[in-house]
Amino acid sequence: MSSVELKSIVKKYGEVTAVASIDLSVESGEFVTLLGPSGCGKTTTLRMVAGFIRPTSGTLSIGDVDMTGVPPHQRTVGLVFQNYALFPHMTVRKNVEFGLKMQKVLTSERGPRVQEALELVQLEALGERMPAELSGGQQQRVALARALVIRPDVLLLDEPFGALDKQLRDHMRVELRELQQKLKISTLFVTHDQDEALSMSDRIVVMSEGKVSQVGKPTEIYEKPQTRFVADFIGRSNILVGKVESKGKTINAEGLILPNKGNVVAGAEGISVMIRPECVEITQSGSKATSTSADVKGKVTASIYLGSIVQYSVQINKGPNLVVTQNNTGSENLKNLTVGDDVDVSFPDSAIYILPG
Amino acid sequence: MSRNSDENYGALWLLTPTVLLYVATFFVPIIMLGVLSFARFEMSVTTIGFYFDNYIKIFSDGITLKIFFQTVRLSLVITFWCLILGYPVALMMRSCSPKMKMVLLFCVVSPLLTSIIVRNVAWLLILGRSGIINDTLIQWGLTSKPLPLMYNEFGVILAVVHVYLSFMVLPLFGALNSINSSIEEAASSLGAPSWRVFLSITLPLSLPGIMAGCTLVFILSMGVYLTPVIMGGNFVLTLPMLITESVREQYDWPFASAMALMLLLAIGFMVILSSGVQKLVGRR
Ligand SMILES: Nc1ncnc2c1ncn2[C@@H]1O[C@H](COP(=O)(O)OP(=O)(O)OP(=O)(O)O)[C@@H](O)[C@H]1O
Ligand SMILES: [Mg+2]
Repeated sequence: MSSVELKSIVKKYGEVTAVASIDLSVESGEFVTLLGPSGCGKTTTLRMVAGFIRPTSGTLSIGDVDMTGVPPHQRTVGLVFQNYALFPHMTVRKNVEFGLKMQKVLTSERGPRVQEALELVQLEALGERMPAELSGGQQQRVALARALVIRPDVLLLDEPFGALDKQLRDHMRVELRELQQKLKISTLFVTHDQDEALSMSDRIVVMSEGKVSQVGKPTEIYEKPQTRFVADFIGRSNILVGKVESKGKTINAEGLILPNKGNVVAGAEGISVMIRPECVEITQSGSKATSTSADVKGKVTASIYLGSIVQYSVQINKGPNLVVTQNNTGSENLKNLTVGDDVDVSFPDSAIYILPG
Repeated sequence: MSRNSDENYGALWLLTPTVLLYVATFFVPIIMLGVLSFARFEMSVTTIGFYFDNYIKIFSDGITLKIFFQTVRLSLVITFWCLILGYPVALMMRSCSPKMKMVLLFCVVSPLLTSIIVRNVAWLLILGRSGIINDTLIQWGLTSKPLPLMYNEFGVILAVVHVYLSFMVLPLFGALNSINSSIEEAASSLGAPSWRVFLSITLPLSLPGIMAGCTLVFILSMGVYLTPVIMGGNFVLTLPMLITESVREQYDWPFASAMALMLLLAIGFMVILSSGVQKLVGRR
């Protein structure tokens, strides 16, 4: 049984197409993330599931019931906004209780359920506070409790941690994922933060310009992107365009000779090859010769210190410019690399990924 | 920090004209009113002193107090209708397109842009015995005698509501506009139908606007003079009329001052009451 299913959903605002035919499903208990750059239609999609936007065409079902034209208050969805959207004139307890009142849950039953929801987000002590008296993280937890207490068919979150600082965001991420797994609640999560998507999701739906670019597990999305867009958008990547050489054994990617791993037919052109920067090894020329498949030489043209990693730009001799990242382990080798240094560049065959199509 | 406040103090002299204006047009007259209201007026002679004659007269002459309460009642009715008519307008202004918003805003403010005489003559043409409405009704045979649409309370209330509606709509719109619509959406996603969202969320959150609008309209209505004179045609008496009459016909400044102070006290009482209500609701 799927909790949410979208079939050929389209949303147009006059000439503007916000969502161009989306198929999407959230299975029972699954955590699905909509990931994509700003303006790709994530919020629009989520709001169609919540019922605030009526799709131009297509069908939407929640819990295997057609909900396409059903108004929001007749759907049982839990919605969490980026700006929390708590009721400012009600205490935390009243906020959480609101949905139960609307569902006409008996007064005697409401108390324990509110308490339970508050315990779930570790706010049982703050029930009598007003929202304005809470920190951002606490407010977002109240919003979560308020959405969960009605036992929704699906939990919808639109960049819920966008307004929090990085540390709290990382913390809330873990907390939400644990909660979701504990309650086995179907969740549709919207974000443009790939770390968030990769770390929390069962499945990621990468969107671009109102369309689904790729659907897959986080590992599939990261390691086997199906389109150039996904490869570019997720993580840092070097994407080289090459052509299979006459014998069919190798690919000439902008001057870099790589093994033809995908067994693309000889003579094929415009092949996109992806090499993740963290898979590339660079060492000072002449230090120790590591021998891997593609042994090439280059020159460091830029270096950016990012704390845990250092990102280099390496101009390959008679070849492309590669982005290379190295873990900052504090090794002497790393510290000595500066702009202008000649380096040996190497990467294992497994680092080479040929994009389909 | 200290630098900042230094700068603020430096700019204080810019307020001097405003302060002078306030002192000249507000505090000085009020003090004069206070002094005069305790004066004695006998045989057209005013004696400054500490007499309670005027206040005793207010409570005992059998008419002043009645008209005072009539003025309060009229102001409350006007405020009520402004709220009832203004709230939907403010709601609509909030949800419509920017262009439509400008149109609505213009409509609401338009009475303030018209001179009071033009406005009341227009009402005369519409509501008078042979105005458009009565003419039409008689022509269609719906009534044989002209309906009394003017020179009564109805006419006064209609005309005053018309002018003061903007003073209700603008604060209401401000308050409604500051409500983040995702709060209402949250309520609706939690199962509240739209009427419930309105009653539980929109209405209570717009309370500051309601109180501000009501207070403003009430205060203005307590002091409105010309419109009731024209629209009421001496059939609807209000305290400002009494005050004017006392000054103009009897030259009785002390009694007029006492009545003016009474008007002021009533307004002050309302302001305190409304801020009290707001605090009470805010604490809940
Ligand atoms: N009411 C509207 N009228 C016209 N166009 C709209 C409307 N709402 C959204 N759009 C357009 O639809 C597209 C998708 O918008 P949407 O809000 O879904 O993006 P998003 O993926 O949530 O972006 P972000 O990450 O910035 O929140 C955008 O190009 C936007 O300009
Ligand atoms: Mg969005």
